[in-house]
Amino acid sequence: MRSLNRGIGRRLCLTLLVCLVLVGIWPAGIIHAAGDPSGASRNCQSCHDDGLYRSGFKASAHGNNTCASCHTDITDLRRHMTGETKTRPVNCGSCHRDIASRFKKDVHYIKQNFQCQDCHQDIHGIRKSGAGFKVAAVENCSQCHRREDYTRLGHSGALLKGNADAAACTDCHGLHNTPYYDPSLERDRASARENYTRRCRSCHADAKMAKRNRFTTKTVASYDETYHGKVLNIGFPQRVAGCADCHRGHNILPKNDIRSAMHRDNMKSACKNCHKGFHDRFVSFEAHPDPMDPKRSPLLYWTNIFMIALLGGTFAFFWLHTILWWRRTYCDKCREGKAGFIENKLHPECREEMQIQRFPVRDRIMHVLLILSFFTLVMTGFPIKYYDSPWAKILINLWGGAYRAGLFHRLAALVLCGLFLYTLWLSLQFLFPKKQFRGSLQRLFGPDSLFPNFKDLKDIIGMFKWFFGRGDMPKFDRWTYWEKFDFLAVFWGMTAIGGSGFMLWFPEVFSYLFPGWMINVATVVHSEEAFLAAIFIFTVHLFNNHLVPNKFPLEPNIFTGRYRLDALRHERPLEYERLMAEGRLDAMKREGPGFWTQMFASAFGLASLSLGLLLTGLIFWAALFY
Amino acid sequence: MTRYEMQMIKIFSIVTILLVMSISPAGADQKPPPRIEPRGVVRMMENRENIVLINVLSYLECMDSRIPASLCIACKEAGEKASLLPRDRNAKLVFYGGNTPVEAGCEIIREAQREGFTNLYILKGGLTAWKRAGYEVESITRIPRVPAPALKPGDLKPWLNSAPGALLVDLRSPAAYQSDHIAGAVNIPLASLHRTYQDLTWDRPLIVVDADGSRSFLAASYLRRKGLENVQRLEGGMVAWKAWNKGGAP
Repeated sequence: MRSLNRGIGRRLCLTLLVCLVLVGIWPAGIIHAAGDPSGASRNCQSCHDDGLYRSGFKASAHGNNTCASCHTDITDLRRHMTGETKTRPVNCGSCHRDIASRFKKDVHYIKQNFQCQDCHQDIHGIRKSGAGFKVAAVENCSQCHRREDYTRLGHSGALLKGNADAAACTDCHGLHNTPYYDPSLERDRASARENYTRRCRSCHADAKMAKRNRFTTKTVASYDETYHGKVLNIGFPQRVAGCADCHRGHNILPKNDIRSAMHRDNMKSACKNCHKGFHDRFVSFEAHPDPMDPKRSPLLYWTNIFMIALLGGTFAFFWLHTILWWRRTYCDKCREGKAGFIENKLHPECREEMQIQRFPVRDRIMHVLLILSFFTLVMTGFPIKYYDSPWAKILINLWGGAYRAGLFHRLAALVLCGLFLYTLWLSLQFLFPKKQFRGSLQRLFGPDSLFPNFKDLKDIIGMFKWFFGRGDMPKFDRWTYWEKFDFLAVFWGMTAIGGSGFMLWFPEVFSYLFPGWMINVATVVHSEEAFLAAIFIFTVHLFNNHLVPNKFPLEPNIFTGRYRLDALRHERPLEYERLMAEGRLDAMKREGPGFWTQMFASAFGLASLSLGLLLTGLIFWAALFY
Repeated sequence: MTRYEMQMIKIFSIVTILLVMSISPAGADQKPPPRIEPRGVVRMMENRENIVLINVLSYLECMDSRIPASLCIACKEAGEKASLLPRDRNAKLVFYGGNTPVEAGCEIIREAQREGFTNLYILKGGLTAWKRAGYEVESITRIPRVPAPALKPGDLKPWLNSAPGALLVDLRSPAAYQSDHIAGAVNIPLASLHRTYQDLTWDRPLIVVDADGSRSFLAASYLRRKGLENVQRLEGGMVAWKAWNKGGAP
């Protein structure tokens, strides 16, 4: 009995001794841990002796650390062992600062209060995934998110077969920074659209990746050329479709698959998110059009070819015309200067201040409105056309963003349409005054008409002869052939640009008349015709009427309404002679315009001219380099 | 009856109707508190104003994550926890919920108004906006999240057919449950889940359903931690369920 008691006493003493030693060593081990990883770990492992904390942890990504590296709050072993202190969650952010900082914006933290260990549950055995990172990410995410969602996706097949280029969850949604978007906020919806479009683009616009995986980057390039793409790219994704608006969710499958978001039936619901009240054929709109592919979209291809030919032909003729004219006039000026008689040669009857009334107030107001609406259209439309040029974003922001610029664009378009319709009405009144049809043909081809006639053809030939010194400058009547072209071009231009513009303004309504792909055709027509109109006006029209050396820097008669009698006699001798012969000239004679009229004409005219030249420079910069 | 009398009756009727319409219904004089941005709350804190933050989410959610030093008084706990409100009636009370706006009929707000508190605010965007703004939160007893698979609304019925013993648990308030719920669902509000979870049958598969799918994950994690093995959640909650029933995407 005594020996039994002695035995118990010895064991008790031994146990107490072990405990004392452990209590003494533990804090030292913890303090020592930073310098000697194995020391502290061995102490912890005396209780936490599961294989995970031994070999598993040693081989893990954190294997070079000690237990106390992470569990920094365990400083009193006795209290820890007796459960008096409760272990606090590990702060992974003390080492992984960057990830912790990003994770503060992660949807898992914001909405679900996730912490690191919620996803990294096997933290003591965690290993670096290396090449298998993407698959590991899919495995991890699909613990909560249905894996079926992802495996329906076209990307999944390739990834799970070992293609490291294919997108995993983290490629689209981010890792540790999966953004949170509140669908009730427009700002968040816009950010989401921009984010997902950028992420799709990061792979689908990558030429090397495209080559490796046999897909085309044209998908992105062609989207960028649509209204959706241009407005999104210029930084206003609020009201246009990004990639994920059509390629919704994870349902990315071939478009002939009924489950695909791209299937014709499902496309309708995608379009309905933004467009209301359209005909079923609306969905034939090409979100990735290729105007250079005749097999895919023949009408779009031929429209594009036609517009290119129209632009090429018009500019080739008129730029050549302009250059030759400038050369001839400039040479004449130089010759006269050298000969020493450059002073104005006034006709004895034509005092300098004597002028005639050329344009009534109505025409002058119409021209001012035309200039204002035209500049508004150019300055609101071209930033969208050349969305990637450096000035585009500045200009669109000056209007208050793409949406407001669009409102101004439409308002200016309505003003221009009003002017066009009024001009049409005036033309009909000119042809059929007081509803008289007799003599309308004579009026149509007469000297006061803006309709071309056979003399215009002779004048063109005569002008080219004069350019090369083979004859005198043709004698013009009231309207020259280039002025007639300016006038008639408006009829073609308004039909093309106005018609296509209304189609783009009301695509849903027009879907009851045309298939959806006509919107693609309208886009090409609108865009190319806008370029033609703007550049023609800013280069050819401005040169012919203001910048030609004998009129430089401004011919103000469209603003003052008055035309110098001397200029009439020299520039339009047939009209001068006709007015003299008909005895109408004296009735048309006026004194020069008043001071304020001249001031307005000079200020408005020169400002318009300068703005036109500036815009020409910007457009050519964008067209050539972007 | 003369014409004059008829006209008098008409005028009297119109005046009576207008008077009845102008009388406000009971409780309408208690306007909902103004909303305040997280930055405004922080400014109050920095100015050391007498401010008390009140988390009106469920006890589980509040203990899991709340603005530091908040009180945890769920909307429906006005009766039992009203005594936690400060004695100073001039104190500024800021109520906040999760992502969804604090419900109009939140009882603890009504109770505070009845008790004479005048400086009441609702945190705009709730805890979500607070976190998005980058401000800290605290966890008193955090519920470690456990992977809880989600069922899409379109898969719910086939799944129920394959698991006949499964139980649908509607976590919303009794009022929301009574207005509309999935056939066969039982109502165990999240606000009292920490007390009532033991009533659940442990070996039955469970599907937890909330209003919009944002709160069921925490509930599922809690139940899994408590030992219920087979817990799933309905993705998107009742909002997704209703959308699917109307012919929306599965």
